[in-house]
Amino acid sequence: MVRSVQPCTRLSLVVSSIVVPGCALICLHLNGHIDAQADEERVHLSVASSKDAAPETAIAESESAQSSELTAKDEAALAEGQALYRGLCSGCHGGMGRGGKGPNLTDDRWLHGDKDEDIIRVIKNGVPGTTMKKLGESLKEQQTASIVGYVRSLARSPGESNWTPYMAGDPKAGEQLFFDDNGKAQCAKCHTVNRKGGHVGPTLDRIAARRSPEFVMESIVQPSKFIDPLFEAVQVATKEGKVIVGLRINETNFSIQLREENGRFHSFMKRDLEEFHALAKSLMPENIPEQLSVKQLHDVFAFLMTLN
Amino acid sequence: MVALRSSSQASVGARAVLTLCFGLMLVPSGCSRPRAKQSEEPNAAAQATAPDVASVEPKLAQPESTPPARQTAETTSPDAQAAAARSTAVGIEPVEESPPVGNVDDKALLAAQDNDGNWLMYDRTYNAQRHSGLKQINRQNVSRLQPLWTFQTGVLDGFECTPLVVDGIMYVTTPWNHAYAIDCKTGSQLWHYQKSLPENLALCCDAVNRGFAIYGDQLYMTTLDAHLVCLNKNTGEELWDEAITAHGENGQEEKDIYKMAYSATLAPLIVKGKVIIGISGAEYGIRGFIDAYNAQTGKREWRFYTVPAAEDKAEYAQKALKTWAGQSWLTGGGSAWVTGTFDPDLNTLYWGTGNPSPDFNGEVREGDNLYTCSILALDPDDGTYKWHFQNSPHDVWDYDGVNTPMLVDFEKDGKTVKALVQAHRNGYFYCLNRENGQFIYGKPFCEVTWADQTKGANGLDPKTGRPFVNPAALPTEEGVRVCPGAAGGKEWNPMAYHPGTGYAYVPVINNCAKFTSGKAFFIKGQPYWGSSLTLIDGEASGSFKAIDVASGDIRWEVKTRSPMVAGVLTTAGDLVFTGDAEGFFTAYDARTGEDLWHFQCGSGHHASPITYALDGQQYIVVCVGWGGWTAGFAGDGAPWLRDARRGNTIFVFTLPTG
Repeated sequence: MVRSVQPCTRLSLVVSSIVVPGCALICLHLNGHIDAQADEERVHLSVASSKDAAPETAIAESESAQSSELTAKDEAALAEGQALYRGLCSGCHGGMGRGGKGPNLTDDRWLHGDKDEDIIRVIKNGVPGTTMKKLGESLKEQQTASIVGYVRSLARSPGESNWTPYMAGDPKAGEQLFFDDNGKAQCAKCHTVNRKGGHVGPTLDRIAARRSPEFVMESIVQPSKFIDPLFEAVQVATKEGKVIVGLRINETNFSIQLREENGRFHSFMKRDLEEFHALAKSLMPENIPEQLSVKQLHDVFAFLMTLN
Repeated sequence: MVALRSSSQASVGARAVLTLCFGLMLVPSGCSRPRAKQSEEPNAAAQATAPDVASVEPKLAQPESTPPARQTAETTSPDAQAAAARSTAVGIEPVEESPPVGNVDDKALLAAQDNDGNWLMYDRTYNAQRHSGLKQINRQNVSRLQPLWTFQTGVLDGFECTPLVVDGIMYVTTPWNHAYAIDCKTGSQLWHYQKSLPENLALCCDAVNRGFAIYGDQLYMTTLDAHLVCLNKNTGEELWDEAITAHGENGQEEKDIYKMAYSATLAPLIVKGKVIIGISGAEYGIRGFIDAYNAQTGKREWRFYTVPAAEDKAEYAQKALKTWAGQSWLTGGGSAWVTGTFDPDLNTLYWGTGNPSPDFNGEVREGDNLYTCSILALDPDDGTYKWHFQNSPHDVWDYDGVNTPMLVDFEKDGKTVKALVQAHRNGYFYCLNRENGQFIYGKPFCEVTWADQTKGANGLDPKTGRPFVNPAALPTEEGVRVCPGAAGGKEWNPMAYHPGTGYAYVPVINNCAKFTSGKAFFIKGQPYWGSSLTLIDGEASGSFKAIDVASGDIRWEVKTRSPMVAGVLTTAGDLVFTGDAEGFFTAYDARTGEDLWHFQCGSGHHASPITYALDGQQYIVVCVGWGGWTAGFAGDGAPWLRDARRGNTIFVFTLPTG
């Protein structure tokens, strides 16, 4: 399940040294280096924060120059873009670009065109009839470009990262697993890609453009770590003693609407309920890494990474 | 009704049971019963405009009495008689007829509290209590309240207006400076006015307007391009259009100051023939001021700069100048974008001031930055400085001090305290002596981390009220989590007071934000923030609180799913009205917070309800239409508000007449 990007979450998919009977020890590094040979099909992965993984990051750093696509010049432009964005744009579009008074700049919906030149045009000319102000006379061309670059970076990931997956996957095989209703993953039961699939979880179209790779991987292996408030599961108990668990579609101060996994819709007035609360766990199964082989996990991941 | 914060941490079971049994969250200190004091001292004379307290006729339903006090006045007009017959038929008491107002003069404005039939100024009265003596609609019958008519303007942005009602006609302003006159009885449009606005306005917080002021036959509206316009109330015809001026780069007085990012959004206040307004634009490095214009000619009579300049030789100005590093006062902010209040007995005008610029980078403006984030007491005749109280010296979290400085009187230790109370964005409920600005108390009404709660009294110096700032809360380059977030613990939307309970009813925002400080670059006419903030994902919720003005203690609280950002109305029917972000307009029991009636209005509430009476019937009015800066919660804090429906509609409710 995909959640909103946490700004400070610099995740590295690291060290999962959990020995499940019959399972090998696996260790994933920032650079994808293998510590322990994975010779077993089923693994259990956990994701540690970069703080927890301090010793491993040293290895990554030695290779960072090679894996980083950013040159020093790019980084300077990004820093400039960030300063300009924060000072000029964040008031309406949010500190992380997820919108507010102004539109979300990270959701891949571009009301005035999605090319760089479209975004530059909007920044320069503003949008008449709205509070989007003209910036053309105030900024140099290169400054506008740096804002666009930074906005693009906001949409793409929660921050720069050198994380790479443990192994390459086969996107074709992953696609099959994704859509196979009787398979081991059954992702499409809940997630939609290209208009195919269910609606219990978020749509994953263009997910690779919207979320960082490590965030996507983490979402698969630890679905409850961050739950988007828009995709929280709730449990309600009616006064007649019926208990229903479903995805919250909407909630007001007086009512709540939810949809069960089987698609059934319910609307309740809160005063008619004995109790209701959000579940701490995502509706997404937590055992997917155990259901899939390492290879299969990376196949599904590779398929998701093609969605950009 | 309570929306539980749907978080996994919540001890949901117990809360839900409490919630569902009582429909509200009672604070342990308890106020399911009204204060005994109130029944002994009905109408605790919180009227700044009433010099002789004892002579004021109690107009409020007694907290202990079940049915509302009967109206005894005789009705004489044929209309009123017909209404009386109609009303009696369905068991509601007719409202006593108000005499026609005619031309709204100083006398009418001073006596606004006693004029139940009309709503003559933004805050209803000069003390801004937003309390009406009408009680036809009351706790017993409010559950039968029904919409009578609606009026759609077709405008989409944040609807923040408090309508005026004079002699059966309603005057409303909308975003983008449209204005309407509407027949109160039928909802028919009588005229429409639209200000011609230039392109490329600098509007930090939506293209809003908060309403008209009326004086004589004339209506006054501030505009997004920083003008003051005067309309004929009968025709909507523009009588004059005065450009507000300000100093340009060369020190010259300039027009078209919207190009320097000045704008105006507030409803003007009329005091003794002067139209008093404040300016907006502190997100763009303007230099704030409060102005008074001649109501007839539109000529400016005085100006008070909230951020004094080097050439201002007055003592208060020179004192303030020392609180700005270098030339930082030139772009110091300190706008004054919410209508102030007036005490005729003390002949004092009270006005709140906004944040210093740049918002989040305080390094370029070392010092207290007077008179930003302050309450200013001025002489309304000439704008002379009387005193100030700075709630947030050297603010770096955008805690504008503009929220309405409400004037109330209460008894303490056998003495009448002439107080000014304010639910500040910085999360404290302040009480000052309005005669001299002395600090009485300040108590947090939401989570506050920017001030060190372990020091002083709740983080404030008990003598002076100056906060002990928590150094760990100062914005950094990496970002630091601080509560409340930049929308504050309470937005600009006005609270209301009920003299029968002694409570102020405060819509609260529970939210925290990650504040970053960064490069502060000033570009004329462009935002001057000095970096930014990000609301913490999913952490914005709301509550509606009854705060005892005598002590600052919270008497009851209703938790809500989303931040509460609409204005409040109290009535002598012991009701409190306000709306929520999901579109529900709700009547609460003033004593307990129980929700007695609610209605889905189709878009979020950000405006302030009013009430009026016509032909023996009481009406409740609310402007509905989500927007304003609070729409900013949608990105991170309350993402369920993303793509929240917009669209301006006026709703008028009344009891069915058969």
